[in-house]
Amino acid sequence: MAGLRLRIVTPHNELLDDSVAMVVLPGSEGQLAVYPGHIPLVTTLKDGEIRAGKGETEKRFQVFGGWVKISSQQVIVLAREAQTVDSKKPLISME
Amino acid sequence: MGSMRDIRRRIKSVESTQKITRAMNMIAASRLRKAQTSAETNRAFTAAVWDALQEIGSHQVSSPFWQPREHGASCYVVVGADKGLCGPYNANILRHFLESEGAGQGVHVVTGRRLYSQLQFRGISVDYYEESGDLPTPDQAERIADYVFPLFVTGEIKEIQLLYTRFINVLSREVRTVKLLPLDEFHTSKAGQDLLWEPSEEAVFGKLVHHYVTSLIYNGLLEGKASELAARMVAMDAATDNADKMIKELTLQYNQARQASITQEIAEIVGGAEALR
Repeated sequence: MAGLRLRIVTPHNELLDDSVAMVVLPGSEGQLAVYPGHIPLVTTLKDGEIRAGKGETEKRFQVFGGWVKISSQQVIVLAREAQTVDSKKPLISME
Repeated sequence: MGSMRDIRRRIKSVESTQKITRAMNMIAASRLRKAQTSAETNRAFTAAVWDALQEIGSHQVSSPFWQPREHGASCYVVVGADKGLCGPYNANILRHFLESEGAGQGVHVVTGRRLYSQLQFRGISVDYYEESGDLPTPDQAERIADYVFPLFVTGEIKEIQLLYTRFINVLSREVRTVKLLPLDEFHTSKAGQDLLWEPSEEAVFGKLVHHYVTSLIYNGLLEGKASELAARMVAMDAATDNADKMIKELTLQYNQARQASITQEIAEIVGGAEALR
């Protein structure tokens, strides 16, 4: 099965460039889940969490604003600020 | 040849100047590393933003941002340095700016105290000024973008040009002019498939372009800072070497003067002893 290339880039670093099975994004109009073969879509992001699934594992990232460009094989997140979420550390409260 | 005391004084003064240039060289070198890595990592981001926008351009999105404009003034965003002592860095960017089309008439946005004062000296008005600071922050870029972006949207200016020095390596850099808006060069005629926008095309696209402008300005600031520090490092290295050369020459002169005075003293003593006989 063709995977989905997920890139998360911020002005300071490239956080992730990896092939994933699916990704959940915090779109400004609500959460959206993207699987390979998604129709091309551009949307802005609100502050929230990105979850990228790959097999049994799941990677989590926290983003603060930015936008995302989705095409059938690639999801590119251009965040203003983003960081990996460490499951041991508590999340910064969003409220 | 000056007196011994004069020469000694000059040696001391050159030595203290050398201490300063050496310190500045080392400071620039250590800060350069940081500026260089941020400039280089930011390139990936800017390239990604660029690519994404180019791809969107092939989707025939209708927007005034794509269209070239005939009327109005040009806006120049010029990235300079706060301080001098960095070789030809400021002079180069200033020369490029003065040679640009329409420079001196439109809207001028300037960073860097040094560049600002040089423009004022030439009687060129500066509409928006931002200090260059230690290491550029995204906030700085955002403030500049927030100033120039509405000017373009309201139609007050026909284009936004960014002038900065791109960092290639420690010894080389080049002044670049990048057209931020409009995006007419982006517009490819290839008909793309439909693109979905959430919430709406107008709302998202405006934000995208603003984000694009901000990231390019930020990239320009970072590149400029890395170039400035590299230029300063090279200039201060050369100055330290020159001081070394000068100290050597002066030391030679000093020793000659010392020897001459000793020889003279001996001659006097011998002469005196000769006279007593």
